[in-house]
Amino acid sequence: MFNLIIKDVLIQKKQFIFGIAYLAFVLVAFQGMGEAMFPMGLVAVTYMLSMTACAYEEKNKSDLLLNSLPIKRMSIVAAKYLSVLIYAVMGILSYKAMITIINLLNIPLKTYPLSLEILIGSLAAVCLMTGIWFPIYYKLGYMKMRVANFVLFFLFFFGSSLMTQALKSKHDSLWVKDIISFFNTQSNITIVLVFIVIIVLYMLLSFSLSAWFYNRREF
Amino acid sequence: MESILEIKGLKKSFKDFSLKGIDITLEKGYIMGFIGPNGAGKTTTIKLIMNLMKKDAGVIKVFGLDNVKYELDVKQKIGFVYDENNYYEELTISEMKRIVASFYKTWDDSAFNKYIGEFRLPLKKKIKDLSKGMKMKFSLAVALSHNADLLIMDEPTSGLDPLVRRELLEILSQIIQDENKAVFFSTHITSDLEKIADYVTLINDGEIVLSLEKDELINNYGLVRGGKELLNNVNSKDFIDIRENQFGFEALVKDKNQTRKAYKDKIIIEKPSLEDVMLYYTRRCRNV
Repeated sequence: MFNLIIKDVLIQKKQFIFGIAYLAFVLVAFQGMGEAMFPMGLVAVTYMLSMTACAYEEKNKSDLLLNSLPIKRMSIVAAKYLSVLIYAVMGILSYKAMITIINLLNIPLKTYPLSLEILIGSLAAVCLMTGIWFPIYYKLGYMKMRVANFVLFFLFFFGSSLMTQALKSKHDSLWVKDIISFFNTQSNITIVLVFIVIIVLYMLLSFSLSAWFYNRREF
Repeated sequence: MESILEIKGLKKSFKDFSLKGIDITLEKGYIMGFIGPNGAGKTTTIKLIMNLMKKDAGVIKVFGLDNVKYELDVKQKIGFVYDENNYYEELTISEMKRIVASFYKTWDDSAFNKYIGEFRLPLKKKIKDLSKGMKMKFSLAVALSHNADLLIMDEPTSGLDPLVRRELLEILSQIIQDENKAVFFSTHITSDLEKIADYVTLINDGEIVLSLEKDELINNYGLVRGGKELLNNVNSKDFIDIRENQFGFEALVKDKNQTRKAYKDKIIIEKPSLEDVMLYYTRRCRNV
């Protein structure tokens, strides 16, 4: 399985350079965004890399090859999920390296050290995205997934603003109050832990769904 | 004799095509040519053996083991070459080899290097820069480098020049010197098989039309030619199919000795090629 991840990295050498360049661009161009620039940049880079990896699978018709080798279908799916983590770690490390260089050379750019909250938040955002679109990819294949993604993208954007409005309007309802009071009364560590547990469960569910779909695919 | 590949009652239905309960048996030490026109079900059968598709009914046993239940064990011992390149075009030969090798317990690097040398394949070249022949040779090198006992090939010679095709056939006949191995070779270029196949299985429209020893087929079957006047007196049941032309007729028969006895010197009998056998059988199915 480790070798499947290496394969995804090897076929995307150029995209990795582009990814790092994009992060550098985000650092310079989105100075006004403050700390939020990093989650945005990381989500964009991991999205691009995992999409490209899937595009290459489609282009090379690699499902035929991978499923003819002695590999479990589940491992093929697991490798894709883990590779996203590798992209995220690479993104984090290169971002860290960039801010270190900026600070060392006294380049007149504002840098924001990566706090634990931002780091977890960024990873959660990456997981949120990956968790939705991998099952779609394993169910429909790359080409159809692109259409589904387009729809999802808009749903996400309009949906999130609609949801915020809805939550605001229901500010007085009981369950919203319950949630708010839960977060207010817990320590930061508890909140982070609850958050991590939710994300892990969400990813496990997404993975099981992807593996289930992929097991049923015919090539 | 122990069967290396055993297929019984294999069924698979699609919207416009179905595999109608086929049986195939391949024993150790032999090469089986799996022939048939395009769309007859060759690739579907191979995909079912490799568990790339799910069967509707039937049994597939490789090395005596169920191909789905013991999928990973079975695949450790299968070498495969498909008609198209399915390796990652962005990787070099050595990168791709490293990845594929990691999945085989019995990967043999020295065998791989030997084939790479023999085939004159450039290790540092990206797969997308290789010619079709070189890509096929790379697939073959991979298929031969993990001590596979069964080689499954789906139209490996399609689109290759005669020189590379000949090379491939020579390698296959070398491999089969080891009597524990077997080759299952699908093709619609039947002349490839005349030289190397021990058995020939003909599939048409999802059904096995015949499965025989190649020599038995070439020796017993006959391509019969005769004058038009004979056509009114022949029993069409004696022939697999009859093709009429300006001067007379040409037909395929199962038992040329019997035909010779029946029609004596009114006809000329020749040895059929595998292509003749395939054409007559598939046409008959269409005519029926």
